[in-house]
Amino acid sequence: MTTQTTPGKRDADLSSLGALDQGGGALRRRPDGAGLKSAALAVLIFVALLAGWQLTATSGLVSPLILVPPGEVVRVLFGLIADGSLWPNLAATVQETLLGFALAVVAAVLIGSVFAFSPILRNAVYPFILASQTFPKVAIAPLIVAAMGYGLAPKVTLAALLAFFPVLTNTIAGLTEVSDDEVHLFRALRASRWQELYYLRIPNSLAFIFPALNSAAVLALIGAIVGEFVAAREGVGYAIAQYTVTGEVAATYAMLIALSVFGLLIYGVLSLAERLVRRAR
Amino acid sequence: MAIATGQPTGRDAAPRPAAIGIRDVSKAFTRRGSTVQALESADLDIAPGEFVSLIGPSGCGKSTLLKLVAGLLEPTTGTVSVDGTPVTEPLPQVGVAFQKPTLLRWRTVLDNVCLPLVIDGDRRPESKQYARELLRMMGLAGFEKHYPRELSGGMEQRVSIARSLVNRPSLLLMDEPFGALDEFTREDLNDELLNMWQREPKTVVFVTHSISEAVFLSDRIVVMSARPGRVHATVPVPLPRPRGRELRDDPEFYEAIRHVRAVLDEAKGGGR
Repeated sequence: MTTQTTPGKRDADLSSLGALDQGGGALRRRPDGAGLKSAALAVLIFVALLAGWQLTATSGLVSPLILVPPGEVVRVLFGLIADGSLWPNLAATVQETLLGFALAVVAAVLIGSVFAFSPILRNAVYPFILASQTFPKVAIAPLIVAAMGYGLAPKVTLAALLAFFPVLTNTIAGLTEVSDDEVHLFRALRASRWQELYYLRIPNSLAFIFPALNSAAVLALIGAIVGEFVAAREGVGYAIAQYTVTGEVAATYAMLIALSVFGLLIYGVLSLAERLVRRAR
Repeated sequence: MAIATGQPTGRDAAPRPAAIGIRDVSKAFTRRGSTVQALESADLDIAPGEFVSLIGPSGCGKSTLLKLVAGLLEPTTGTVSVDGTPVTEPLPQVGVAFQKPTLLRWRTVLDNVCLPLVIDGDRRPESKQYARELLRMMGLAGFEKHYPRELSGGMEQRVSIARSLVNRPSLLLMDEPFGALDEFTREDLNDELLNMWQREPKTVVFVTHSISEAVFLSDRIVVMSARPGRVHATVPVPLPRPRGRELRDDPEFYEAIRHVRAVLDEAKGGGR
């Protein structure tokens, strides 16, 4: 679970600092044009995927009940946007996901912090949390719906349950996995416990927590969709279930595209948040 | 939060170098039921302004002795005192540099050097100016805004040393700070360390496993033997100061190295 990035090893010390003076900045820059090449390659892959999709869909090898051509999907997507049936469903799923995600992150960071500073409590409670991770939580989705009804609550709960664990483990790791040298340094500087927390452990934990947030967001989305599959009156999962029953395959794909746009948006927001938090420190 | 706000004046002046007294100090570690005697009845006096190296085979307790002086470990028996005060916790007048640079990777070079000031609550601009000055002396002008991952090992260690000096310690403790560096970088950093020490006199205790480094830097070399760790002998280094690069070609330098090596061999043999 440790996603910490260790500082990359670098060129040998040349000691002739004059030479390094110009080299300092270049050490982290990628060779010229690498970004452009990656972008061109990405476009190429995208076009190839579309072409493959189109060819497979029109070849007659796959039933149109399973795969429809991309053009048809885009047409239906715009249709769903135009007739207003996309927004309520997407909005419901987004709301459930974000609420579940937020709940999970707050709970995981709080509980993780308590665990990080109380090994006794951690050792006592952690086995139970670990055990709760060994069964697939989607399996209890029907139970949760039965307990909480058809509304927002069961979806948010499922989303939060799924998103909780990676944030918890990475919070604990980020707050506790500091080297002996770092602890010695702060002790030698006569830092108080709070100073050690503020200047060492919290910044250290951010490198662990932010990668976990990305997986937590994806897991929260899965939780929300599964909740909607079980029982719902609205939401992307609900819509997909309906479309599948009525054989509107293109609409199902359109919903998936809407979901991945939402997913990309979360990813972008999280990356931005990480950059802002790191700059602020 | 203990914030040092006192001493409004005179803090910028270099403080008087510290004196160290080590009296019959032993340190035993107990791990999984078995006890290891890391250091046994060590006695050592270090005069103010002296540059002393601790040298010996691994397991001789040289790092343990340094950590005892730093207040990072407590002796099992005996006392360590700095300027007559028994050391029970890290003292404010002490700067420490470790074998690993131990820079915080989310702070820039300048912010890393300023960490001790931040912990002390010292926000005076002249202190920050001194941090820049130290970086310049260490040959790192222009690297203030870089992050540790953008530096080489030698440069990181320079930053670490600047950090250990930024609150003008009267005693500098260095635990194999150049152990992981190549020979050329190590010699450069030795030169820079001596320059710094000559400009601002302070007591230095320096742990190393390099005989030539110990001879080049020190007034006195404490040779230790292993299992249990003991002070075997102290060897004065009679080479004149100030010392520069040319000393490394001096026959007297080689003679001193030969002598220390002989004492070290004797320590290894005597430990049996």
